[in-house]
Parts: sequence; structure tokens; C-alpha cells
Amino acid sequence: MTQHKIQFSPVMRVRGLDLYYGTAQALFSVDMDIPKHQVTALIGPSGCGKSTFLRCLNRMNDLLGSVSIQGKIEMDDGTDIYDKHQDPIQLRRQVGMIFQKSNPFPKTIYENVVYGLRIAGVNDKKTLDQVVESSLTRAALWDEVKDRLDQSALGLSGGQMQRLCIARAVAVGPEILLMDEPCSALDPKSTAKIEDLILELRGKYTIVIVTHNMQQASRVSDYTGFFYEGKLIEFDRTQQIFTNPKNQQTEDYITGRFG
Amino acid sequence: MDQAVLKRNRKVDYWAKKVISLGGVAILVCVIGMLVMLVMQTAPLFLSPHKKELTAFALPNGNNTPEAVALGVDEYLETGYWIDSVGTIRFLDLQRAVETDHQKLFSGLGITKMRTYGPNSFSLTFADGSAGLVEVTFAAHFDENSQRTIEHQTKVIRQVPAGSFSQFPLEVLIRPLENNGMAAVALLPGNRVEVWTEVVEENFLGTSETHSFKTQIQTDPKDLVTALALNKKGDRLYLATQNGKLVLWNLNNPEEPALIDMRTAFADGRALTSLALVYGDESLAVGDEKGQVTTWFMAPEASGSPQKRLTLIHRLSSHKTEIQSLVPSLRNKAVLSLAAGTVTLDHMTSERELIRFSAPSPIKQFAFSTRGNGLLGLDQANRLTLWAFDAPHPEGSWMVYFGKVHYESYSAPDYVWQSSAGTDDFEPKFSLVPLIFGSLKGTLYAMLFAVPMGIFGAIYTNQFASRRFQTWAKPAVEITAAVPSVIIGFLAALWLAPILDRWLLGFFLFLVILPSLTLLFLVYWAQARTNKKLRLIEQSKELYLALPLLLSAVLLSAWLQPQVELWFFGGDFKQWLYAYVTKDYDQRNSIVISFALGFMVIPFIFTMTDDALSSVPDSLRAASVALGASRWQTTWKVLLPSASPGLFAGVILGMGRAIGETMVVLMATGNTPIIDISLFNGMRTLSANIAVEIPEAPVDGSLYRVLFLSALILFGFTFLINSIAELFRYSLRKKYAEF
Repeated sequence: MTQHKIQFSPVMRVRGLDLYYGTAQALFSVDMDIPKHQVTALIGPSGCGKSTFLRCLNRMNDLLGSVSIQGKIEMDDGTDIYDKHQDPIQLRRQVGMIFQKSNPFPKTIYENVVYGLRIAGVNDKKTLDQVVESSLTRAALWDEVKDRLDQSALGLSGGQMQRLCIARAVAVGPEILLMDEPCSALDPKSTAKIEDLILELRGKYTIVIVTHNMQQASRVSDYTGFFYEGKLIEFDRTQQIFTNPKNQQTEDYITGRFG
Repeated sequence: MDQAVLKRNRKVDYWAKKVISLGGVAILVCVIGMLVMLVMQTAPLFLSPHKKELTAFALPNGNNTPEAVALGVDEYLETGYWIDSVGTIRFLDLQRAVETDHQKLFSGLGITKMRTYGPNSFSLTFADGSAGLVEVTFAAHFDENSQRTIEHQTKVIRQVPAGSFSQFPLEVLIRPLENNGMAAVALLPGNRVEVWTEVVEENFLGTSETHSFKTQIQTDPKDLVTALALNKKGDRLYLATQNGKLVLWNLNNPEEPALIDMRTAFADGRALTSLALVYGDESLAVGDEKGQVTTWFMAPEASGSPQKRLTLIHRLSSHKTEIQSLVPSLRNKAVLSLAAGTVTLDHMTSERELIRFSAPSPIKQFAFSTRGNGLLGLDQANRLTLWAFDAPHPEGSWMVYFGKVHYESYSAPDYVWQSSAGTDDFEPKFSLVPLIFGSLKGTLYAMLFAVPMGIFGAIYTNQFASRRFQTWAKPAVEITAAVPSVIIGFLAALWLAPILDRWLLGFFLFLVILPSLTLLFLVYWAQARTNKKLRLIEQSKELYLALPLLLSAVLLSAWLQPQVELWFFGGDFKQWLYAYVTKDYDQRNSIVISFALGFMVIPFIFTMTDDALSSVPDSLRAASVALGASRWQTTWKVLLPSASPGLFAGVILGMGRAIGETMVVLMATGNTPIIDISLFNGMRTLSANIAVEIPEAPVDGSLYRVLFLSALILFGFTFLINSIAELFRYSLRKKYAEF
């Protein structure tokens, strides 16, 4: 296991994370510090465990039922998110998630954005209006949809839907945004828009993004982790990884010898 | 790929396509065929009757014959007869237009007046002041070659000797009483009406004594009596007068007739010209000078009033001129009327004018065959015309099937289903409304139970229960759909109904106790759940808490029943129900139906809800959870709204199932065709009604066809309901096609 001697203030510390799907082990003793207000990209071939790892960060794996986990994931206040006392609902409000395929609710654009607030009991129209505008503005969607907030979100284009999902996640006011290959279903133009958005959100949010696309990783991320067969092979500054990887496997993957 | 393999694949493809299309088309054809069959069986109900002229010829003896006073025809429409004013009855072969036989009635006394009681039954008044009741009968015989010969017979039933009345009678009506007795009513000159009764009593030695009574009926000398009608039992006499009075006398006591009712029939005081008793002697048909035919019987003046009076019930045909005569059918509640040469036939119950016709020369005499299949008319030019006549279902009309009808001996118009009774002269009551109501009522109560059970059960199983519970709960519920409905009906009727009868109050207590107990428990749980170990139970093991809760609610209700019954209901809940809530508590009531029929429906609603919830893409659930929603919030805010078309489809499909279900309702409803939404009595549904009555319905008869009509309505209901369910499902599928 490579030691990561990188200096930054981590927002999350992952220590010795093992994950099993039933009896099959999918993650092997992963250690990683996630840098605050930076963009971290997770790369690796299909089935390497990078998405599984991402879902550990907001306990979405809980929904799968047969998943068991060992190890620790600590927040910056020192609490372990897998502690029995920890409320996963609270965690998920802090750690938002954008999925591979955009998944707006079959509701209006407005209702999509305020969903997270409504379930938290916020129903004040003024607050909601404000959040809708600020979130959509952050997601660079406001100008495109401000005149049709009361129309179904399902009428938007693929790229717009994905940005709506980002706005919806942002509206809750999370610290961390997890993105699971957010552009894989989009055309290049929409992809570029999302990438611009990620760069803009950087600095306000900690972003962890799983991507298949190494150009994307190099374009948007500050740090990059390379996963291979359930292990974190290398984690370093993106520039370092892409120009001078320490590990042979990383180099082979980046130069396209496998994957 | 190998050419041979390709070829074979193509061949298999070709044939598979053919077979599958054939199957699909066959199903469509079957459904359409069913619909066509139902419509074809129903359609004759609504076809208008038709008549066909069979033959017409001048009376054989030419124009120098005496006046005809009566006509008749046999039911095969082969032999006709006419009675002339000199007292001869002449039989005619209608096909060959020749006279076959003639005989003198009453040794050739001249006939001054004829009154008919319907086909082939005549009360004749003779020139010497005597009178007689004559019946002509026909009997068919078949020889070895199956050749039919019809023998006619003229029978004198009763005779009133000359001089029996205090004056020379103008018109006599005779009705036979038992033991050769008779009642005779005569209209005498000077507007007097006299009743002459001969009662024969047999004493214990076997010898009979005859007593004769003669009494006067009071009449207004200034108000001429225009028509008389005497019922078959000879104890009710109806009079109609020039000034429009309708009078009813009770002749039960031959010495002292009693006035039952006297009223002016119409507000305009129009003269009444003709009377006849409709078959069954309950209703009186009245013809007036304005050509209107109406029927009347004794009914409460206002709803609820005990006072009964002669009441106008049905308005039948109207003519332009006064009604000359009215003749009842002896087969059903139809009445023939003649006015100015035009004959109409109306059915009283359905108020349908079945037929109206006139011959080139005005008809002066007419007769109806006993089977109601033919009409013989004699016109001014002494031509006889025979019409074959077909009105197979006169008692039906839209008003009868779907409207309120004032049936005989009912106090007010009502929706009634009663298809048969002990006697032939009964008025069939074919209102489909109580049956449709019963179907809807059964469905409503079934849904009250099944909808919450099915939907909440499915939500729990799909979203909250552990995977292990899910794997057996779903198939278990689906298997209940396969339980034969006869078993459920049997259990409901013979096991559940008596238990519920025994624990009726306990059942209502349970309805209160279970929610309150649950609420109390939740209040306790809200505090207890701070304990981590207890909280683990919440994760998919709620069932283990719910079962003891349910059980204790049942036990508590059972334990409380006798106490509560004693404290609040005077020791007997059912007695209390009878006194304060409903008079018709029935052991086979809607609570039983709610459970039994609900049980049939739950699997449909459960499965559809479960499918609908599962069809909501997982990505939506993930999105909701990732935003920090709890399981319940996710279910309530994302899954249920998205799955709602599927839920509606399930509910509606369940409704379709409930409305068409037959066995359960047949066994457990009590089959009472009443219109009462009450929880405490049963119902009769369209489906159960068909099952109950079709074995007794004569093929192609009115009841048979009305049952097909109700089947058609049922078909329409289920077709409509299933189509709506399908639309909802389609909208659900369309909504998520893109996910």
C-alpha cells in the first residue's frame, strides 16, 4: 500500500475500509483522506470498486441489504459515520450525491429542488423561493428554467436534468458532493457544462467524483485516486498522478495499456 | 451461420407468429362473440311487437245475417267463431273461410247484450230477461300421423232464470261461485243496479240448500251508470258513470253490499264509458269519453296514509274518441281497447302500447286469442280479418327495468325485483335497480375492507418488511387469489356469519379498541425506542409487535362484549339495534360480505400495488434517500405519487372482480333484492341473481331475456372498469418508459 504524504486539511478520513457483498470482498483496507473544498477524482477500470467506495461515503450501500463493512470513516469532527449512534439521514444531508443517470422526480422543477427542504420540514414559501433561485443559479440552470419552474422536470434535456439533480443536492446545503460518473450519459456539450459547473462549485463544496474519463479527471480534479481490484493503488495530486505516477499499474492504466 | 439453421429459425419464427396471432385473434373473437350473444339474447326485449294479416274474408252467410255480438278464435288461429244476436254460435274454419258448425245457444233466445271477461268467456243477456255465462273451449287432438284436429265445445257455466231481477235487465254480469252458486249484477231501467246472489251450502248430511239474495246498489238517479265490472270471485263490483264517478262496492255479504270508495276519476269530470278488470282482478282498466285508457287500484292516497282509495296508476293508450270497449288478456296484464274502429293493445305494467291498428272499414267487434298470439276483427262491412300477433315480452320497458313502477298492491311506485310468484296472474317485477344497487353495495363494502388491507399490506411488504418476509408474503397473498370462491362463500356463510352474529358487538368494539390500543402503544414506543436494542425491532420486525397487539385487541373485545352489552345496550345489542337503528338485521349481512368479498379482492389490490411500487425506478428511491429522506418520506412523497396510477388500477381492477364475483355473494348475502345501504342486511347482486334465477327461467321467456340483459349490464360494468384500470396502468407504464 502506498503511503500518501500529502498535506491538506481532510474533511473525511477513511481508515482500513473493507467491504463485502455477502461473502465476496469488494474493497480491501482502503485508507484515504478527502481534501476539503477540493475536487477528488476516483479512477480505475470497471469493477475496481471506485463507485462502491463512493457510496460508502454517504452510506448508500446500506440500501443494498447484503453489504457489510469494516473500518472507519471519520468526519472532520471525529465522528465515525458507521458508528451505531450515527443517523444516516443526518449524514446524507451533509453528503449529497449525484448519480450516473440523472434521476429527477416526476414533479415540477421547483418541487424537485425543494424536495430536500420539504422533507426536513421547511415549508416557508419565501425561504423555498430563495433556495430554488440560489441552488439553480449555482447549478447554472436558473436562466434556462426560471420561466418554467412549475413545469415537469421530465421535460428538460439530459444535461439540464443532471444540473437539476446537482441543484437539488445543493439545495440541502451539504458539505460534500459525491458524483458517480455524472457525465457518462451526456453528450460532449452537456459534459462540458457540467465540468464547468464542477470547477465553479469547487472551493465551496468538497467534491468526490468517480469517472471513467481520464481527460475529465485531469481537467476537473485537484486530487486523483486510482483504484484497482478493490484496492486504492495510488492517491496523489492529479498533476502528479497524470504526469509522474509512482506506481506501475497506475502508469499502465493512465497510458491506456489496460482498462 | 449455417444456411439450414437460418432456414429452420425462419420457419419456427413464421409458425410461432401464426400460432400466437391466432391465439390473440381467437380471444378477441371470443369476447366479441360473447358480447354479440348477449346482445342477441337481449334484443327481443326491445323489439316492437309486430302483427301480420293472415286472412280476411266476408262472413260466409253474406250480408243477410243477424248482427254479430261476439267473436272468438282458438290459440292455433285455425278455428274462429261468432255469436249472432239471435243466439247462434257459428264456428268457422279460418283457413278455408267456411262455416264448419253452428248451434243454438239457450234454445235460440235473442241476445240483447254481451259482456266479455276476456277471450272465449261471455256473459250474455237474453231477450226474455234471463242471462247466461258461456265459455267456448278448444282442445287439440293428435292422431297417429301427428295430424292435429281441434275440437270446440260450448259450455254454459251458469244461468240466471228470467224474472230473477225485479225488472227486466238491460245488462247482466255473471260470475260463478263455488258449488254451483253465482253472483249476478244487473243494470236495470231507471239507472238501478241490482245484485242477485245464489249461495249453495252443503249441510253435514250431504244435502245442499240454495239461498238466493237480491239487493239493490245505491245509485244516483241523475248520474247514469255507463259500465259495470264484476271480479272473478263475485265480491267486488265496479261502476262507472256518466258524470265521471268511479264506484267500488264490496259484495262479500250478499245481503248488505258495502261501499268501499266513490270518487270522481278525473278532475274535468269526463264521462267514463268502459270498464274491465285486468288479469288478476287487482287493477281496473277504465276507458273514458276522451279516449284515454287508464288503470286504477286501491292504494294509499298519500305515502304513509292508511286510507286507501281508488288511485290512477297507469295511463295507457289514448284515442281520439270515446272508448267503446275494453277486453283484458287472460295471459298477462295487457288490455285491448276499441275506439272508433281502432284497436290498441297496451301492457299495463310497462305502459307500452304494443299495437294499434284499424281496418279499412271500422272494426266493430274484436277478439284476442287465449295465448295472445292472434286477433280476430269484424268490421262494419262484415268482413272478418285475422292477424297473427307477436308481442313476446310486453311486460318490459326501460321504465320497468330502470324506473320506479307502481306495482299492484304496492303503496307507492318503487324499484322491485320479483320475477315469479305462486300464481299466473301475478305482475312480474323486473326492476334491475335493486340488483345494480346490490352489486354496487357489495362492491363498496368489499372495497372498504380490501382497499386499506391490500394497499397498506403491499406498501409494508414492498418497502418496510425484511427481505425474508417479502419472499414468502407475496406468494402467500397471491395464492389466496387461487382459493375457489365457493370455499370462501361457504366459510363466510356457514362459519363467519354465525360467529359474527354471536360477536357482533365485539366486532364493533374491536374497531374502536384496535386503533386506540395501537395509538397507546405508539405513545409508549416513542419513549421506549431510545433504547437501542428495542429500536432494532423497528428495522423490519414490526410484525412481531403487531401480532400481539392484534391478538390482545381481539381478546379485549371478546371480554368486553358482555359487559358493554349489559351496561349500554340493556343486555341485548341486537334488540337495541332493532329498536334504534334498523329493523332488518340479517345474519347474512354486509359485514360478512365485506370480509368475504374483500378477501377475494385483496390479492388483486395487493399485487397491483406491489407491482406499481416496484415499477417506480430504484434511481428515484436512491435520489430521495440520498437527499436525507426517511423510508416513510420516500414512500409517501416519491413512491406513492409515482405509483398512484398503479394503485388506482389495482383498486379498480379489484372493483371489477368484486362486481362480477358470484359464488361468494350467492352464498353469503341472503339474496334479498332490497335497496338499503345498511351494514346490517344483505343484498342481491346482478351476478348472484343470474345464478339464482336462470335455472328457473323458461328459455326465451321474458325472465330469461331480462337475466341476459342484466348479464349485459354486468359485462358492461366489468368491461368499463377493466378498461379504466388498463388506462391507469398504461399511464404508469408511459410515465416510466424513459427510466
